[in-house]
Amino acid sequence: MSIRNIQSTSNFTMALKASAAGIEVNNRRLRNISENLANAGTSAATPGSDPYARKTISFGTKRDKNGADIVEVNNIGRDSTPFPTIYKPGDPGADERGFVKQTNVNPLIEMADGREAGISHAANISATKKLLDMYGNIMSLLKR
Amino acid sequence: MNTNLMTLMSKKISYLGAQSQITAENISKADIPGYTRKELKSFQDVMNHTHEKNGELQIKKSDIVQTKESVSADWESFNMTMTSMDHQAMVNMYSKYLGMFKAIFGKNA
Repeated sequence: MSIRNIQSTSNFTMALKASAAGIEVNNRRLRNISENLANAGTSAATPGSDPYARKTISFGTKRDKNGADIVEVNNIGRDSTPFPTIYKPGDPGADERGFVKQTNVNPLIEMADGREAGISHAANISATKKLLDMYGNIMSLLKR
Repeated sequence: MNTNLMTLMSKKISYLGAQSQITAENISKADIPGYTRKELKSFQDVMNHTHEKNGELQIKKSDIVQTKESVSADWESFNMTMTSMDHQAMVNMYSKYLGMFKAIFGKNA
């Protein structure tokens, strides 16, 4: 049993690694969302400067040394959407016409993205729990 | 003494381990744009096509099918639960069967 299930144990290890990578990238995604939300509503500090640009994240895959294909953060970039401007002549960041650049963070999009990241995170956690249960079942055979 | 059933259960446990790995990969990669889900061929297909090495179930790359469906976290979680339940059932059955042998031959068998 033990020899035959070496492959099975290795599968569990690789599956746990895949789930852990999924949890990690979703944590990074949630961090991005938190940073974006924290900066929502901010504007340019000085005339002519740019305000906070929304952070974006993209995922890719990599093959680890054990041959498991795991997810990883491919790139953390900046949203190139033009900054909206509002007329606010008294603001320190207002240009000569009285317009201030606002950040391009849309809290509604961030909230939706956060919910999606939360669901993915929960799915990975649930998979990890199931895998640990399965691993525990195999190990319980040794107690007999 | 029929040990074929134990061998078969052991292989099924290995198969379910591999299936759980594929499902875990699908769940973790659900957010990659354009990623399509992978699935493992049925146990029967794997058993029919596999070449055993030292009595061990060999799962090859050709046993993993790349589908054209996108990943649904709900569906994959359901698959993982089903795999886990099957796995638990197999391990329990294996354990009971082992218990029967031990009852016959004693604890040192």
